[in-house]
Amino acid sequence: MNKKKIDVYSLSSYFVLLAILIVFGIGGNNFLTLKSLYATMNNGSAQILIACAATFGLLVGIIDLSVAAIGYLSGVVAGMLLHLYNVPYPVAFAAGVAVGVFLGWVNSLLIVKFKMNGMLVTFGMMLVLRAFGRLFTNDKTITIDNVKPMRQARIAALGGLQVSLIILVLIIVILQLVLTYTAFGRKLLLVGCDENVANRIGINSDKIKTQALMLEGLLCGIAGSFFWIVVQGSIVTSGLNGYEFLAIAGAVLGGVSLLGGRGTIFPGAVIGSLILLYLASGMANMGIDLFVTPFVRGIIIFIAMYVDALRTRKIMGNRMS
Amino acid sequence: MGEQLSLEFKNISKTFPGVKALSNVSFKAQPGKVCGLVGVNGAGKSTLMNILGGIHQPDEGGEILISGQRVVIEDPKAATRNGIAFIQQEVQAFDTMTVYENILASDLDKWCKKKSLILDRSAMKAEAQKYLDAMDSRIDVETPVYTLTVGDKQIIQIARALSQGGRILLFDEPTASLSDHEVAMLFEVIRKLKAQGYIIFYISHFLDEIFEMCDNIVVLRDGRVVGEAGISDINKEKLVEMMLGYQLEGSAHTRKTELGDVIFQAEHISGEKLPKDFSFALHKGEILGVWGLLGSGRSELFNTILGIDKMVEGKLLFSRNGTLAEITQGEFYKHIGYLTEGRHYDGLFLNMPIGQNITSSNLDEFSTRGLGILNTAKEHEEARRLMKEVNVKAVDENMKVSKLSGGNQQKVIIAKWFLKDPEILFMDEPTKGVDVGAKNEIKELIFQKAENGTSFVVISSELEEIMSLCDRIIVIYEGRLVGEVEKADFSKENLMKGIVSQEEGR
Repeated sequence: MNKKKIDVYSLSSYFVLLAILIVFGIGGNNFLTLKSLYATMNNGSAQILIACAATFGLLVGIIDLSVAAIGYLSGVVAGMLLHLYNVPYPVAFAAGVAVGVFLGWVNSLLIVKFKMNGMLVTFGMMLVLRAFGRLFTNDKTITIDNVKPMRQARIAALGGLQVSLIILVLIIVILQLVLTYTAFGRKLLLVGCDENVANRIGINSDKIKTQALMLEGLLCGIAGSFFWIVVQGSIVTSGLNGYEFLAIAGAVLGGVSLLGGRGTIFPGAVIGSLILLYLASGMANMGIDLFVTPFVRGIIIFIAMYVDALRTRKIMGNRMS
Repeated sequence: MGEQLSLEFKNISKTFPGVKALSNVSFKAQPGKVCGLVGVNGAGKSTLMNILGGIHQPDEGGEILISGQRVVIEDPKAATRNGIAFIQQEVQAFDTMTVYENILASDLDKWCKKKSLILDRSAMKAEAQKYLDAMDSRIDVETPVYTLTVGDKQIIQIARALSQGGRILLFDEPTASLSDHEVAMLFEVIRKLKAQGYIIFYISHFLDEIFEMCDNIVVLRDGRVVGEAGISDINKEKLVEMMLGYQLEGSAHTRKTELGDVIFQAEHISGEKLPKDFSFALHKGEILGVWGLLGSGRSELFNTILGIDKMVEGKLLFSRNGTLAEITQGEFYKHIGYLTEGRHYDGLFLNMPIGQNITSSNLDEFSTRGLGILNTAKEHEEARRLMKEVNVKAVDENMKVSKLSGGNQQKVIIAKWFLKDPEILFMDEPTKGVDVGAKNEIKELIFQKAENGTSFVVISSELEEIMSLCDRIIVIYEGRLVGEVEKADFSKENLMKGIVSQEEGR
């Protein structure tokens, strides 16, 4: 019964990330340079933010499979406005984010109001949104030129750090602060921990879940209409495809519980996502066959789930009498 | 039953990091006897049972002897192999499956037809029937379990224990969720098993049950055996003194009888089923008891008033600045606290720290307006203050609630509501499953708060408790108000009067 016992489990994700960086740093080719580290993170910024979004769903006990698709559609809307109507970027961005928030609200309507199963509702949503996106873009790749200056903005003093990455870091910091230091963040955790209890003590858990899903939509909107289209500079049909699983895997890898009520944005979802990102880029860097990457990712996810199971057992079990 | 069955604990000690949970526990249990294991929370009962169940290992030097043979119980499976079976408070059953499948669920492989994967249903039914017969139970083996009462499920749980070869049966608070009738039925079954030569342990906070059911008693306190006695050699007062280590004093508080104005009035409250047309008034600083038999609609009354169940008819009047005015349920909820009956499933965030549980119902007080930023330092400070006020025994406010004993968990809930400091506190069985020591503490806390002007509405099924706690008791029967008794007239007869007249009137 030590006062401060270091939780090995909560540190494990750091160790894994460190191990990956070391292994590929030794084995790879110029892997451990600032430029390459920044580039990997910048390219993965949409994935990281979508993982943060998915975390808010997970915290209230909803496995949201529509996160990537919401991001995709937000990006498509923003991108089409830029491409077809040449609107100023802030307007397109606002429209994309609005789409994200709206879709989050639709999700909440189905899940919270109509009490439908969260995972399947969001799976349906994913299919619908993807179809819409292909319809809007005629299934063609669209290049967006007028976001170039934003994409190329860097800060030389920090080794060429992309401005977009700084924005990502800011968002992450704000989200984690919201989670730890606001009544809203605490209520999220309480609802995720036990909805029934939350209701009995006067927390409106339906409202909290709705807010969580709308916040998710907001973050996906930002991911799609800023981090995706600005960093990539184009809209492709397969954009952000499969990111819902990478996002959820990343979050769980970082210690976010699938059962709700436990987890963090940072280190949690962010470090978890970085593990998956650097693993992929490291393997590409070493010239390892592209088909091996998903295989290794799969193994890492198994290990993460095992750690999660151990941790759950530690929390649930071993009651003192 | 073969050779003479016996169970002996020899010098069992158990040290957890920083805590000596058991020290040198030695005693012997006889077959054909019910051995009551009593002690306040934290006395070591659960630890001892967990050692017997293979969940914990005793420290070096301790021995468990079954029928004279030394056994090592390294895990729960080994416990089952040695004929040890637990019948727990929470009934564990597969609701959608039939009775016989439930009884034989733990060993389905054994019941496959020869060299196939197909279950031999008729053999299974016959086997399950055998155990039910041993208890003279008339449950049909083919009924699905969800159609049964909790009491019947309990019987099925016992049958399962017997089918696994259980010879040493441990009943841990088995009556917690049973009605009076079901309790009587369970006791009948235990007596039959006793007559068949099983060793039976009985753990309960209800001392009445201990005296009714047990043949001898082992009292634990602070991890030691502080007394062993035949049931006829001991009385309740003596037993409580042994459990606590000191004499229980009467309340230091003498409740003053004059009360404030009416603070709340419920008028013609009707729910979808219960309650029916229920009205009552509550005064400032009053402790109002709601008494009724199980199933009379006590909890439903609370749930309907508070809007957790649908209120079909009725209105609530609440006094603000001295005038009673109608209030919506949503608005009313902000002025009250509600301590629910089932603390495990709707009272606590078990996986959260004590501190965050205490502050959970009152987060707005710790956060800024607008952005809602939490002042965590103040939160910790307040949590510590309240833990001290209600005397929660824990290392600190960061400990998980799931690691606390029942009495301390209940105190955390009370602390939570004290922090909110509502004008009215609704309490449904505030001392259920709590040991005598903590029970008294909780009662004192209620008295203190009432003196400072908080009003209480309390449900309790324990007559003695409700009579010692309340200023006035209203009686509920089938969802209707059938009686009201003032403190001066408190007696079992007066409380029962309303109920009896209703029963006769039918």
